[in-house]
Amino acid sequence: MTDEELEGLRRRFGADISAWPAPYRQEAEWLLIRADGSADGDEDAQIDRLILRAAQMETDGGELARKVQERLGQGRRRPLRVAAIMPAWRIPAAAASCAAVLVMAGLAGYAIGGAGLGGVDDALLALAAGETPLGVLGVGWPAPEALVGEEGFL
Amino acid sequence: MTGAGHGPHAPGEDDGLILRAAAGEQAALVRLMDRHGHGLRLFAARYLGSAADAEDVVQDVFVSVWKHAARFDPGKGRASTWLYRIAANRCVDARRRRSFRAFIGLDDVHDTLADEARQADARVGARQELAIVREGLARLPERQCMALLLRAVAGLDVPGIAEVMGASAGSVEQLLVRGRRTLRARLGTSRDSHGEARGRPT
Repeated sequence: MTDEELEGLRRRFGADISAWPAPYRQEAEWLLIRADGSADGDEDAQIDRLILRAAQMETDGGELARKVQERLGQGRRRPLRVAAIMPAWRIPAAAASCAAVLVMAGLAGYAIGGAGLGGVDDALLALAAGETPLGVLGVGWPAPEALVGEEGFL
Repeated sequence: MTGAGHGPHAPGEDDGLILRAAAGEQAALVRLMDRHGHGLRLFAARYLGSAADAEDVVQDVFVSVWKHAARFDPGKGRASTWLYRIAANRCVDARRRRSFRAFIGLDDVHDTLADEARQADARVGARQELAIVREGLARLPERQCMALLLRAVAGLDVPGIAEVMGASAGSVEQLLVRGRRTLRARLGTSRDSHGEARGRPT
């Protein structure tokens, strides 16, 4: 921190450095200690100062304020929320009901279509064994003897 | 050096700003961001190792302050301690989320801030000990790193750090002692190796 920066911070936060926010306060105190020519504190203070200097980076306070205000504005405009549709105490009950409906629909689907699923299982087993599954599903080519009459017809 | 204390204290500007924010005065929140936005970002960026993640965390902190300002009780502690406690919780959540994303393969665990700083150090020839401290902080256990940052960047004293981290004052002192000892050892090793390199005949 330079003397000009210290003056700028005095104008921004007031003359009482002890009331400044961190980390400006520590930096100003170290600057004043250096200016006095007094000891640079104990070993712990020296390490702390190094940590603060190592953490330093440029930040843009104006952009932070703008983004936070944008988010607050979006929060106010949000038109539809679950909490607006139903009271909070009903949300777990509604979620449980939805889950129950899904489970029931699955069970009903299996009960109705389950009888036909045996053929699919057989076809998958046939595929796994390296055979054609068409015969298992009953959709293969007709047997040659079944066509004899039709040849005669043609 | 004075640390931001803990427990009963004279009401400061920050306390008044939070109370005004609780009353819906957005200018008070802007002033609070002006006072603490920089410190919170330094703390979060160094703890998370990412300036972008830190930006999100600090925005979350002030949105949360705006929504829950009425919960702040000046009798229980300082406003700065309250702000850093919210930030610390958000940082821990962000780190957990990042670990999970890395675990399922969506993210690389990568200290982008350390990379940027390393490049900056090379560019401007900054002192090597700052680079060693950055590396050292990134390698410290999470709680030691947090305790050191709350001390050095947030300027909190031991009871304040204990309140932020939800730990006892004794365990915070231990974390600070261990963290500082590790960083000192790293700095000492580096100084020794540089001294040897300089003293070596060519």
